[in-house]
Amino acid sequence: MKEKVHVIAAAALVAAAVVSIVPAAGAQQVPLQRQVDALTGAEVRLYHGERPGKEVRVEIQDPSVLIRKEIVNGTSVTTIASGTERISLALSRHGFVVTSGDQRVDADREHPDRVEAARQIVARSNAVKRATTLLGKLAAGPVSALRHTARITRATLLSAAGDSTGKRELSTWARAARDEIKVKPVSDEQGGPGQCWYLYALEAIAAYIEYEDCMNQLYWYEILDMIGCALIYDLRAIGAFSWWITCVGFRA
Amino acid sequence: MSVWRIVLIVLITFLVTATMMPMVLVGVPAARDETVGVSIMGGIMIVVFAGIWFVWAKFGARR
Repeated sequence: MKEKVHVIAAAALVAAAVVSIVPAAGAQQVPLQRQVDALTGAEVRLYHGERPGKEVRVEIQDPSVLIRKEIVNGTSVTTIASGTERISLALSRHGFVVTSGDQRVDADREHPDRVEAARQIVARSNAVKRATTLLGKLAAGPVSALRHTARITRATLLSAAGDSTGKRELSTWARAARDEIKVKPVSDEQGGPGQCWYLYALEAIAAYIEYEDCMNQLYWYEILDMIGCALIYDLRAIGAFSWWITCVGFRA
Repeated sequence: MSVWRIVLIVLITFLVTATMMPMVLVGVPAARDETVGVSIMGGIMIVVFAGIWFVWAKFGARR
């Protein structure tokens, strides 16, 4: 009788373990977007808003290094894994925290000695070196939000290691981008039809991206919700188009 | 050919073009340039207008 109780207890434990593990495995987050960068061969994955407190996460991975950048409760956390090394840098308005293996340094303005200790950990890290090399190659490609994220992440990592190269690159890029925007859309100083098109295109693109996001969250059988997404999209699209016609009509 | 028919076709053309242009702007980045974008938009309008006109003339006139 006693053995039977033991067997039942063991079976219950196994069942409880299976029940707790299976949903965790099933909850593996699916990336919102996944693409392979043609320049570096690195895979880029974008995750969004499925876990409470973790608003957005970008992962960049090539065979030698994985870079994960996420916003967790208002703190920007960059984690780099390469081989057996794993280092994490958390930046918030209070300061920053560097964690590498069993080392952890909380640095802020009130503890300048800790800032130096954190800088040394980042500067010594081979994973960070690999990450900044990969991010540097990524940032060199054509203009896109991904490349700008890579540029900023590289600048952050280099700054944390005491190297100002990333900041200089960011500054050079910002000046070039500002000059490019100056000469691009406006047809005359008051804002001609070119300005109308530029603003229309921004709104139209935003409307379509909102529509895609809305549809991505639905299953195929949620027909009414799909109609809702399409209706909102159409209202925005028609509104933007009407605005453009009015804008061109008044100013041309 | 009545006025209300032309008005209706123009209205449908407007709605179809307004719906399609955001997709074109996302799918064809070159359309973000004004010259290319407005050319594509004009092309869509002509094709949609002519298409509706043709279908109406071909099938709509039968009584």
